[in-house]
Amino acid sequence: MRIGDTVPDYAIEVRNLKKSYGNFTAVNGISFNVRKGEIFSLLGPNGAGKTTTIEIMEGVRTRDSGIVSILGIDPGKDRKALLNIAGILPQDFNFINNVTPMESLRFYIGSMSAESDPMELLAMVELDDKSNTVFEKLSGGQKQKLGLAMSLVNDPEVIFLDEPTAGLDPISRRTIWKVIGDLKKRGKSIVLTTHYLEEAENLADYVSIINHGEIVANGSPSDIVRENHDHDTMVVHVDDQTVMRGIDLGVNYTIQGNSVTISLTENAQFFSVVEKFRQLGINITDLTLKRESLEDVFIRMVNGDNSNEN
Amino acid sequence: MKINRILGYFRLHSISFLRSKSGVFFVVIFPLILMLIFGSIFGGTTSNKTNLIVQNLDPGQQSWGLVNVLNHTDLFSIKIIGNNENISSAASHMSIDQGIVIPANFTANYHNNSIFIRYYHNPSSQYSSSVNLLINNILLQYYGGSNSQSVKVNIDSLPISATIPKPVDYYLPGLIGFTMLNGVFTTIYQVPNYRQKKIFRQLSFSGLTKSEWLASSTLFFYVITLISDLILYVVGLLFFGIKISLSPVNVIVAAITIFFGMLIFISLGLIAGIATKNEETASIIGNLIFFPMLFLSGVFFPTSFMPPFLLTISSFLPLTYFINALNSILIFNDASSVALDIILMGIGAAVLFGVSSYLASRIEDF
Ligand SMILES: Nc1ncnc2c1ncn2[C@@H]1O[C@H](COP(=O)(O)OP(=O)(O)OP(=O)(O)O)[C@@H](O)[C@H]1O
Ligand SMILES: [Mg+2]
Repeated sequence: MRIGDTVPDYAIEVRNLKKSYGNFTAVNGISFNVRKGEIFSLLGPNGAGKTTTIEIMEGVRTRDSGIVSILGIDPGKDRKALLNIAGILPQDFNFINNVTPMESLRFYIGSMSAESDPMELLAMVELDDKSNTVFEKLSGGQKQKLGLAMSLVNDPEVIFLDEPTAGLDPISRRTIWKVIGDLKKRGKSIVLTTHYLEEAENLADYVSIINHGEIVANGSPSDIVRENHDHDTMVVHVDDQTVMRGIDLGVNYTIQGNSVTISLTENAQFFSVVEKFRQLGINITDLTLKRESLEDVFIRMVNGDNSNEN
Repeated sequence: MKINRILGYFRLHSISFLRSKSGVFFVVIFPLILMLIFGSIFGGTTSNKTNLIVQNLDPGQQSWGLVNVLNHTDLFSIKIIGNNENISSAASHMSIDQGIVIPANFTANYHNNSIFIRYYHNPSSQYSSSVNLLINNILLQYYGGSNSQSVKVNIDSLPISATIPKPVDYYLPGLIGFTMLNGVFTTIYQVPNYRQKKIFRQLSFSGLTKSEWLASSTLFFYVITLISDLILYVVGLLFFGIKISLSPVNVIVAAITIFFGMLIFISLGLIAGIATKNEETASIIGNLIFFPMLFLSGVFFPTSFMPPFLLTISSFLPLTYFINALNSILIFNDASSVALDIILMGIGAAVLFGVSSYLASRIEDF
C-alpha cells in the first residue's frame, strides 16, 4: 500500500518499522494504526523502544525500514509539513534557562504564525501564575506543563506526548489528563507513552504494549485485560478466621486476618465458591471481586518475556 | 528562511542574553573596564624623556655628531627612521609629536660654519614649541658657545601634516577587536550546551531551521558588538578624549571590517563548539583561541611595539589583521589602504562561515 493511499479513517499508520543503533535493534518491525480522534498509548518498560518509535513518527529520528504515515505525511521526508499538523512534547522536555513561559510561547506563536493566546494556553495547563518565571526556576512538573502548552501552540491535529505526566503530582497529573481528554473531544489524534498503567487505562482507546522493540499485545485496555488475564481475585471477609481451617474450596486461597483472598481462574468458580461458603454455613460479611488490572497483565507479560530470555 | 522566525529568535536570544549576567559582562562591561584601566595607566604621560624622530639624509660624519649630542643630553628618546620614509606618517604611526630631518648637505654646511636642520612638530601638541627651543639651545651651546670654531645654527620649523594618535587612541581599535573575539565564546559554550539539553531539537519544533538559527545568532551578535563598540567609543571620548576619524566612509568600512571579523570568530566558535561534546572541552579550546589573540594581536598596545619573535606569532593570528585594518581606518584615516585586506577577510569569513554552517547542518535533531 502506498503512503498516499492511507485509509481516511486512520490518522497514523506504522508498518513494519525497524530501527537499530549500531548492531542493537531498538525497534524490531512494529506495526499499528491510530484512528482519527483516538488516544493511542504505547506502553512498555524502560528501553522498550517507545521513544525511538515516537521520535521516528515526529521526524526527529531516521528509520531503517518500514512505512510511517502521519495524516498522509512521511515524517522522514517532509518534516516541515509534519510540523504544521503535529504537536510534540518530547521526553525530558527542556528549554532555554532564562526565558519565561510567556516569552517562550510568544516565540513559538510568532515562529509558527499561530493565533493562539499564550495566556489561554498557560491557563489550560494551570501555569498562568508562573507566566513570568524564568524556565530554570520552574519545578519539574511546571516545566512539563509548559512543554505541553508549547506543543499545542499551532492547534495541531496530531499530538505526540512522550511521558507527559512523568514526575507529576497526582493533582497535576489529573490536570494534564483533563487537557488530553479535552483535546480528544476536539477530535485530535493523540499518541501517548506512559509508565502509569492507570493513565493508559483511563485515557487510551487503544494500547500497544511493546517490549524489546516488539509489540506483545494490542487492543483496548479492557480487551487486553480480558484476553490476557490469568485469574480474578475474590476477597471475602468472615467473622472468624478459625472456621476456615482445613477447608477445601476447590481453588487456591490465602488467609490474612479475617480476610480470605481467593484466586479464580474461571468465571464459574465464583458461584461454586459462594455455594461452598453457604453449605458450610460461614457468614460472609464483605465480598469484593477484582479483575486483574492492566498493570497486572503488563507486569506479567513483561516479566514473562524477561524470564524467557534469561 | 523566514524573517519572522529570524527576528523571533533574535528577540528570544536577546532576552536570554540580557538576563545572563556573564554574557553582558564579557561583551559590554569587560571591554569597558579594560579601557578604563589601561587608559588610566598609560593614557597620560608616557615617559619622562621626549620622543624625537631623527631622519638623517646626510652621508657625512658631522650629522652623527649632532645625533650624539642630542642623545647625550638624556632628554630625548631618539627614534631613527630610514631615508625614504615620510616623517609625518612615521610620526603618526609611532605616536611621536616631533622630529628632525638632517639635510643631505649638513657636513658640507658644517665646514662652511653654518648648519641647518628642519624641525617637524605636531601643531596640536602644547609641548612641541618648547622642544624646538630646547633643541635650538642645545645646538647653540654645542656649536656656537665656547668652541674654537663658531658655527651658525639655523632651524626651520615645519608642522607635521598627519594626525598624531595618542597611545590611548589605539585602545579603541584594539578593544573593538576584543569585542569581535567574544563571538568565539558566545557560540563555543552555547552549541554543546544546547545540544546536550536538546534545546536545538525543541527550537526546531517551532519551525526554526538551522540556517535561520545561524542567521539570527549572527545578526544578534553583530548588533551587540556594534552597540558595545559604540559605548567604548563614547566612554573613550569622554574620559580620555580619544580621537578617531569618523567620516561616513570610515564608519562604513569599519562596520564591514567588524562584520567580517565577527563572522570569522563566530564561525571559529561554532566549529569548536560542534567538535566538542561538552562545555568543559569547549572552554579549553575557547581559551586556546582567545588568550593568544588577546595578548598578541594588538588589543592592548600596537603590535609595532612587539619584539620580532612575538611579531612572527602575531602575524599568524587573524585578529592582528583586523586590528591593523581598524587602526588604518579609524586612526590613520586611510580606509583605501585596507581594501585588499578587507576583501581577503571577506573571503576568509565566507569560507569559515560556510564550513561552520555545513557542520551545523549535521547536528542531529535540528
Ligand atoms: N541514540 C541512541 N544510541 C544508542 N542506543 C540508543 C539510543 N537511543 C536509544 N537507544 C537504545 O534503544 C533502546 C530503546 O530506547 P528508547 O529511548 O526508545 O526506550 P523507551 O521505551 O523510550 O524507554 P524509557 O521508558 O526509559 O523512556 C534502549 O535500549 C536504548 O538504550
Ligand atoms: Mg522513552
